[in-house]
Amino acid sequence: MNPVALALRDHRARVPLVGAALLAPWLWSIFLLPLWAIAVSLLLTLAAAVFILVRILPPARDERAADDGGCDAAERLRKARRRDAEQRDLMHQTIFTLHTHVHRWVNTSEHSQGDLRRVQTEVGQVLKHVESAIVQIGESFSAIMNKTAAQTECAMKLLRSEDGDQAAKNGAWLSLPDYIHAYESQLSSVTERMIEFAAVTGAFEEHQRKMREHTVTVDDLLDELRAMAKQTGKLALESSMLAGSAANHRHLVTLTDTIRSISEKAHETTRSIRLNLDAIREQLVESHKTMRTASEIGARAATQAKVDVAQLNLAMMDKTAEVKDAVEHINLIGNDVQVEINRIIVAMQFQDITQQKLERLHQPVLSRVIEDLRVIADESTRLKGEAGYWLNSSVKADAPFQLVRGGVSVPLELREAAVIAADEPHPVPSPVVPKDGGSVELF
Amino acid sequence: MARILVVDDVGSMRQIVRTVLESGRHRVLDACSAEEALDLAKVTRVHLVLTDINMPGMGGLELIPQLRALRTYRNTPIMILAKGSADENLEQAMKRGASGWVEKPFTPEGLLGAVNQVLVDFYVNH
Repeated sequence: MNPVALALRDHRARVPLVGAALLAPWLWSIFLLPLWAIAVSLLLTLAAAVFILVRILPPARDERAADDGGCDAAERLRKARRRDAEQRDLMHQTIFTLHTHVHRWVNTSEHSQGDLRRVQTEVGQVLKHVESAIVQIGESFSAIMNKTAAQTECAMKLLRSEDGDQAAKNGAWLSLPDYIHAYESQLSSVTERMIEFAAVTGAFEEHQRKMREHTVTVDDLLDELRAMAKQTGKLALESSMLAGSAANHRHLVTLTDTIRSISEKAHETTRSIRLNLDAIREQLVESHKTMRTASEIGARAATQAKVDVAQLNLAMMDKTAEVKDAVEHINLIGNDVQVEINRIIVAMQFQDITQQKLERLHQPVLSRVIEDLRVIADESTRLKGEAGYWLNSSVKADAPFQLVRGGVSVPLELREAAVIAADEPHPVPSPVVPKDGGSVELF
Repeated sequence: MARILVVDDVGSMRQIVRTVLESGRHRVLDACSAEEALDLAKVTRVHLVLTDINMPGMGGLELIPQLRALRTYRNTPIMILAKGSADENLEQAMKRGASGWVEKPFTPEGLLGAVNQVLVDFYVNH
């Protein structure tokens, strides 16, 4: 059929409108232009109308061609069926690609789930370690504080008596300062007794000095007696000689007077000696008394000091035992404190373990999850664009599926094809190049 | 009293090890990385090196042969801080010349005992 005639027939409803639209601009020039110009314009307008009908307007639809029953209609039907097949393939490809992509999403999500479960486990362990370490450190600090307080209490106990002054009077436990005061008092008492003893000893020395003086006096008197004896001897000899001659009576009288004088002197000297001896005897008695007093004082002081020191020693031995027990107790508490500090040190080392765990999570696991999600997101974006193009093309081509609200209504045979494709092994995907270079196999 | 070089990237661990060793009257030098330890070892002679295995950058396993390559550290005892006898790095470290290991977490007595034992073995019994 002539294409012009065919076009006129296909578009017969539009021909008057097209003609009117083309001729309308020329109506106002009918009375202004010459006739030939109007004729040429009409011819050109007619040619333009034909060009529009044949070249610009879309060809007639297949159904009308089919209604004609001609060979062109059969050709159009074949083409239409071929286009349907192409669109079906396109849709199949789209669904297959979407299915593959969803399959990858499933694999990635399972992979990421595994990684995230590991992260969850590790983070849980880290939290447990941290909590355990914090609890341990807190408990240890608390124990250290309690034990240090006990140490202080134990040490302070040594410095105070259990029952106060009354207990000290009854000979019960004294505090260390009380013991120090007791020793000081005892020492003072002993010192006073020693001073008293020294005073008595001084009196004894004074008696001895006086005795020495009396002794010297006695020596002088004895010398005098010896000299008088010698003189008496001479006088006796001389008197015997005078008596033999008896001539010199005057000399004899003188001699007798001398002897008498000497005798009186001797008598006087003897009396002095007796007095000195009496004085010495008295001094001896005084010295003896003094010595006895000093001995008594010394013995009393020594006995008292011995008793006091013995009592203090006994008490000090008890106190030393108490101090020993207290120090041992303090030492035991110190050991406990050391154990608690060691526990703190061990607990603090969990930070290292925690850090290593977090580093292991941070570098391989989380980085892999992030990279997987990034790659799958890139693929999804690309696929979204391609799927939109394919779907739009399919809808425009009036494919045997239609665009519905919120998605695509897929024909039954395509759904069956998708199920079959899902059961088949998936093709190995091409490597995905990450942003930082290198090749990463996703699945 | 020995001079000991402690290598660990975790500051708290360095501090703990320093405190424990100084309580045993040892003098402690510390480094936060294997590279710093290597630089320190080139200018300072120490009697013992105590290093962690897992460190960013050069690890303890790489540090041991680097130290052994230095003439002054050919026979110096090198101990490692390991996570236990099951630590997979332990065997590698011993092959590379480590002299001993201390399990983490350690008690102060355990660390001091191990360090003193190695020092006695190397400097008294040898």
